[in-house]
Amino acid sequence: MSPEENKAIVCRYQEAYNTNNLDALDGVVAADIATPTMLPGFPSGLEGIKQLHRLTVDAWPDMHVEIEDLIAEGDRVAARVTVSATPQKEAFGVPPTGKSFKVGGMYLVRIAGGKIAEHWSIEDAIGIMQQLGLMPAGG
Amino acid sequence: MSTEENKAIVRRYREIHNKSQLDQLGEVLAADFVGHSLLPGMPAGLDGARMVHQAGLAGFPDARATTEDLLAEGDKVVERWTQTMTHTGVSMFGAPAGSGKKVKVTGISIYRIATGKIVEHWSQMDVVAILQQLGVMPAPGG
Repeated sequence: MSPEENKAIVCRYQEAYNTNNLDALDGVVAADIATPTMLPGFPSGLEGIKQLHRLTVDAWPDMHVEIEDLIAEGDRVAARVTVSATPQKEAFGVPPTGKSFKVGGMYLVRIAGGKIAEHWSIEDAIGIMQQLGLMPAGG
Repeated sequence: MSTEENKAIVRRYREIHNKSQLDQLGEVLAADFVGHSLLPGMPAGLDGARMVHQAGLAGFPDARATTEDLLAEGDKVVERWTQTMTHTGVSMFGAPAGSGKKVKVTGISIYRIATGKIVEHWSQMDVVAILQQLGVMPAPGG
């Protein structure tokens, strides 16, 4: 696969995520995907990713992840993203406050056999807490 | 510059960082460097970057980053890194000075290179993990 083909896989992954088309994830994510930065308490592999997504969408129905930059070389693709949502239910220790958030995030994936085989992800969780009014800003 | 030359600049930046040679940061960071992830209140440019590094070292003098992944395309370089450090310095993130807590944190940084220097930088690191390992935020399930 070329870096451009690998980027297209990441775009399809993000599209499936943003449209809640979890069945489409099967085509772009390996069943045994390794997720070293996954939250504790979720099963490993694609099933864990789907469970996390269902929980997130249930609590944050308008969540959207916008790709701001994609950088690829070899079997790796990195994405710089903006994550926005308006929490409606408690999830991940974050209660709804009636406010929305928009924060930065990054992820890096390894592609093998045309699917995402490994995934590291970091979002600005402190920024989420600050914008929702749950933590003092600038502290 | 080739992507391999750009990667070498990021490796040199990491070496300077890991050896705490902050007086040499100007070798790899442009004076008008734009840090998109700088803390509020920090000055712009190279001076701000130096202050961020100084503030980190004041709390965690043994901070060392390991580059886990390095990829480049065009004028951008992406680094996935882990940093290990011991909180033996000043109070940080609400933890009392000299707590002695050991911290391991993951981050991803994007660097844009122009004319041989880093001119722009975006970064995310797992700050929640730092707070949890310092004992100032409950650990998952805790």
